Amino acid sequence: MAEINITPLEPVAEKNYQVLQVVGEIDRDTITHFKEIMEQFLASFAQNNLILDLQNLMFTNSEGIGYITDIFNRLTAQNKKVVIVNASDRIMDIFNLVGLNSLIPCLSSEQEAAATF
Amino acid sequence: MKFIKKKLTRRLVLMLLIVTVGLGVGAYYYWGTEEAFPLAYSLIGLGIFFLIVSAIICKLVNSPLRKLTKQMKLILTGHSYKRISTNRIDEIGIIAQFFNEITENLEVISKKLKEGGRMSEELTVASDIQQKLLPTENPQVPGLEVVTKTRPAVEIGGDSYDYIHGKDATYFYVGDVTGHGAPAALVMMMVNTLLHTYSEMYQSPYDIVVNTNKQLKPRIKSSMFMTMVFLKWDHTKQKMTYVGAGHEHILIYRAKTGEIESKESGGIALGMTPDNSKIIKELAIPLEQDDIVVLYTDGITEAQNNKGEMFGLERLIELVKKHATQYGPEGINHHVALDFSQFVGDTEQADDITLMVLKYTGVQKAQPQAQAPAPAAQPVQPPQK
Repeated sequence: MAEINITPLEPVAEKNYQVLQVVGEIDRDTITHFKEIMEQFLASFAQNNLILDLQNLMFTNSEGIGYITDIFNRLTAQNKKVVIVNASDRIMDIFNLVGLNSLIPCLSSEQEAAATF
Repeated sequence: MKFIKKKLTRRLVLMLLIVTVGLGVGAYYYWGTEEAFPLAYSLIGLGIFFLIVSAIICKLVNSPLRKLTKQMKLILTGHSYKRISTNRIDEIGIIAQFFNEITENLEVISKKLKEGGRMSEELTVASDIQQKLLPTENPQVPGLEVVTKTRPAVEIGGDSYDYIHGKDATYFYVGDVTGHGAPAALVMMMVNTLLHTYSEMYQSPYDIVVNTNKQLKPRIKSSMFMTMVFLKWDHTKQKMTYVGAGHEHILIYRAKTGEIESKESGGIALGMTPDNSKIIKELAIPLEQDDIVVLYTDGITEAQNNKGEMFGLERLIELVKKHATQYGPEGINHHVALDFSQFVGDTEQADDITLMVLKYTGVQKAQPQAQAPAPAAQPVQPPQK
């Protein structure tokens, strides 16, 4: 069975951002757990900018995309920024298909993302 | 006395009576000769002993039993009952405990039954909505032959499609809502209503989709969206245009070369952003006679067989290419469905599958129909079986 996990890195004070690594697969079995751990993280997320590092995200279904969109909408409403970095080709194909990349900036590295804050 | 009627208590009291009489007789023979206890005193003493012990029996045995039987009568007659609170560890305590556990289980079971009933009702409602939205027959469109097949998953996926007859044009769409069940069904209903409404107000698919999204977004959960390809077929110009909203590819079979072109739908899914006007575009699909356009949902391409292999876009393209050389829309649908079933075998599919096939039958056939007063009622050639 697929697994999903998130690892928040140390916040970077200078640019007021935090990187969150998402590792595993988001599918019908893991989506509920993914939402739970994300909500826990978001409850204590105090920075202005969030970088989602999707290098080790192997798959996401449409519910996963919907939930990421939801997070983007909620943080944007609080005047916070969300940027996706390091997404694999496979994940980018899925994002391209539904048009998520025209909503959330998808960049190739943390440095590139930090430069936009 | 009422409590004497209770069987168990009556037995105990009877036994007590026998013991008391026995005691009395014994005492009489033991002390009777010494005259220390006159007979009258002995009788009074025994009488008091009898009453006190009876009262204790009544208190210890009868009243907890009465509590139990009262609750049991309530449960048997279908009234509401209470837990029996006791900290006794004797048989009565065990019975009370047993009663409490049984009734607790009963509550859990009846709750589950109710919940299960509600869930299956919800699924029935969802599948009803989905079925009602789907057109019952293939449309009569000047210049086009269209056949769509859809197969809902066991737990309703989010596929929907429809044909919308506008002024001198017909609109077609295939869409897929995130998630399953009633929420997905409600979103597809909303989108269907909005598309129908705006198709009466606007001619351009761009305006129809931009406005549909604008109305949809604030009305649905922010984690939900619907991907869609929205096609317009202009009856008089015999031209096809489309707006993509983050859907799967559009496949175009070119009759002349026998090749398939695979176009990205582009755009962004409905409900993802409040204003999609800068992201979506209306694009043309130039068609020549006998060209075929295929729209599908990811239920087909992401279907897996028991080896965990995905059906995939490449396989779909190859199949459409193969069957388009010899069949029309009906035949392509039929044969792709057969090949699909063969591929997945008896592996249960979690998602709906939908395939819409449109063939440009050409100007010659289209002309007389376009001039007909009521194009919708005009018979186009019957679908090939």
